[in-house]
Amino acid sequence: MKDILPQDTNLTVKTKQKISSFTILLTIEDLIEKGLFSEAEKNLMALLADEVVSDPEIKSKMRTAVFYLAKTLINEKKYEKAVRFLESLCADFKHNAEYFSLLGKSFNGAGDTKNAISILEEGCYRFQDNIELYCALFDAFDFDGKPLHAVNVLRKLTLSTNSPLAYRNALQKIISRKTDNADKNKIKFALLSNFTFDQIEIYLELECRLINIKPEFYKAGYDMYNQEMLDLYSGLYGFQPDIVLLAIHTRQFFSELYYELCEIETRKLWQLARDRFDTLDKSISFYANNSKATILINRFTLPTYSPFSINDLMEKNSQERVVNYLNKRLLSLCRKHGNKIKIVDTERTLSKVGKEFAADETKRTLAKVEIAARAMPFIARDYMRFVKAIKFKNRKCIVLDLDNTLWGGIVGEDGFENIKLGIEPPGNAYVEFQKLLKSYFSKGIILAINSKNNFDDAIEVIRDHPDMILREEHFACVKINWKSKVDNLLEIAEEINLNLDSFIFVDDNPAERKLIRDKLPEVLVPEMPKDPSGYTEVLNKLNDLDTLYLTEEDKKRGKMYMGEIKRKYLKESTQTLEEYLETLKMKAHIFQADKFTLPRITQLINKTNQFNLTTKRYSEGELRCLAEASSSDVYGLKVKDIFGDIGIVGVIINKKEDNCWYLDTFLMSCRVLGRKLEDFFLDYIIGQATKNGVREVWGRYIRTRKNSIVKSFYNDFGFSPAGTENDAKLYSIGVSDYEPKSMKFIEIDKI
Amino acid sequence: MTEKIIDLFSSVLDVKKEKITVETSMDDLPEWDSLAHISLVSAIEEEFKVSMSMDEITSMLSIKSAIEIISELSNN
Repeated sequence: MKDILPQDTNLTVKTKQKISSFTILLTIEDLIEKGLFSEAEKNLMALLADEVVSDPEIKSKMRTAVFYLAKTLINEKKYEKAVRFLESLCADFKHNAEYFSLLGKSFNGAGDTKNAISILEEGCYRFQDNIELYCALFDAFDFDGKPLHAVNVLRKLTLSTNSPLAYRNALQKIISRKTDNADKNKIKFALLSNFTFDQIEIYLELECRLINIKPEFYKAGYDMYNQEMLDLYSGLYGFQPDIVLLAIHTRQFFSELYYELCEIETRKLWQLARDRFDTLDKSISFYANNSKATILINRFTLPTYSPFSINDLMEKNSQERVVNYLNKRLLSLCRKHGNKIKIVDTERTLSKVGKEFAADETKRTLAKVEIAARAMPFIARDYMRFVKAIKFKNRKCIVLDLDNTLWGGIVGEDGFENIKLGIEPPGNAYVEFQKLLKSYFSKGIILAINSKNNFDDAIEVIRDHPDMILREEHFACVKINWKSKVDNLLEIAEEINLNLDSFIFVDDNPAERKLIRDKLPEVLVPEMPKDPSGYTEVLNKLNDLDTLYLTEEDKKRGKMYMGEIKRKYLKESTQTLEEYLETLKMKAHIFQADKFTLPRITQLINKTNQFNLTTKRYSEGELRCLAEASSSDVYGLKVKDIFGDIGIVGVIINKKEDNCWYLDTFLMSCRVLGRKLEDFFLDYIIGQATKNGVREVWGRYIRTRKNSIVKSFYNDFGFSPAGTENDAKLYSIGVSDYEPKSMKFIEIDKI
Repeated sequence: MTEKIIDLFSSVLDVKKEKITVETSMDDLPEWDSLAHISLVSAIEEEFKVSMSMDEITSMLSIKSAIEIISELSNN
């Protein structure tokens, strides 16, 4: 090569070397183009060994050439060669996201998924906002037959970048993956808005697919919401959505607030406000009365500027007062319709991300885009709080590490007195984190401990440390030992009887987090910051811990699970099942569903999988219709025992004909399995049938992956098989043939 | 860059790459409507780290004009 250099002696040595390097680089490019990879590689390696490479300009050109060669090799499907080439590079080239991504892709191509995953995981950890790396890691997991791991990668990508580009890439990946079983769980969204809001679709689509739900969308078009809601024959009614997103922007709804506010007379202004809201109220009410959908409407947001400027708050006709008025009306509309309408607190979301950040004046002026693409991830995640709660995809239990998670330091090494917990920083950060966790406990989230420690050291802190906020009574399950955290978590899941996808695992140690992520991908493992002052923010940002409404059961749930543990101890210390059940002193009460009990019954209908004979899901609206109709009954069963009120734990839906009752739904919560409450429940129903002169009762069993526990239920009660209907096995029994089980240990509770 | 832009149009509009060339204009693709136009602009702005004015947005009516506008913006 050297002989093609100019022989001009006036050039300095350095310049000469530079020219020589450029020339070689050109040659290399040429060789790659011609497909002579080995030649190109040899030259590149020779150049890399050369000292000239210290020049930044040449270095950057060389990086381009190196990666160009690797990319070309990958495109030519020469994966093994690409791996060998990339691995032989010097360290300089390895501190680079492109290096990780290319090496990962080469391993992927060569079928070596194990190495691909390991190199890409390292890359994603180092370059947290690199979309290409995450997408390659997704591919590696997908090839490896690990769809849950793959999806978790995309979840992390969207959370750590918040970027629309990341959402689009992730969506393409998830749609193109090999294993797609989201088809079973669908949800239908209708988008109604008074501004250009259709772009929300891809964000919601991805967020739904991340939790294995396949969404369908109906977009009504800009400003069509009144017509669509008022016309029973509109596309909206035809689509029969599960969820209506009604996005109303203050500017399009009440444009006078922005510039004309100072000119309008008081009477006219308030008349306008009343009239405008009345119109909206009528449309929403009409739609709510004629559909089963849940309507999510956003709160009216305050504009960033007022025509009254600094005097706005003092004015009788202030922007603030008008917006408040609209929001009060919205709240009473929402109350009027029970749980059918939910208010999305967009004001809070937008103030969190910043209203200026969320605005795009160019696109607003051009196309009435009130919310910029960059704010969409935040808005979509907020909607998902409701979607997850509606589809019962929310998480129910937080499993916590102790050292450096609930307090600073390591109790086994630093000692009880020296751990960091109290009013002094950094101890105050841990106190605050514990306060947040306690607030979750109070609204029904279950807490548990999974810690590697000497039991005595750690439990002493929980019991006796003066600054602990959380005490033993707040934890439904405590695992403090030296076993693997995976085993402990599995035991916790077993003991409190929840599926792994109900858990969040919080640990300051990245290795433990990785272990749980690898072994138990159903568990949500948020990335924790090194600094404990950031802990509360991590949990606050999760949109997985919400319930649609706080039922009394939810508020009690944390306590109920405590009762569950005490009941377990009792189970171990007593002898026969009957004796155990007797000591529980259960009091049961059966009732017909009403508006107070429907929310909890809806929850049970939609999330009970094990003791559920037909696993039919109904919305609250459908259940209300069933409860009100004379041709059907919706029964609930409540129970109390010595440890406390367990609440509503059983549901039967009964469809009635003259001589025959058909049990359409029969389910019991997993909290009370093995307590013979189902016997009590069935006795009661058959008793009612007898009273009503019914001759036969029919039951049905539809097999699912999770309900094998009840496959012989009707057989066991003396029902005879009576054929099949689609997926269902039918059973029937003559009422006079039924033998009631007399349940001495269950008392009938008259409430 | 042409390839990157065609990729981006294909992904945002959900149209096969083969259907898009430098000569393709808004009238050729039914998927490229005014709403999709806004999504395209947002995607371009993020991908190429540029910010487009109203004039630029309204005059970007073909792949060719998109390439011109983006090159101009990235060079400044």
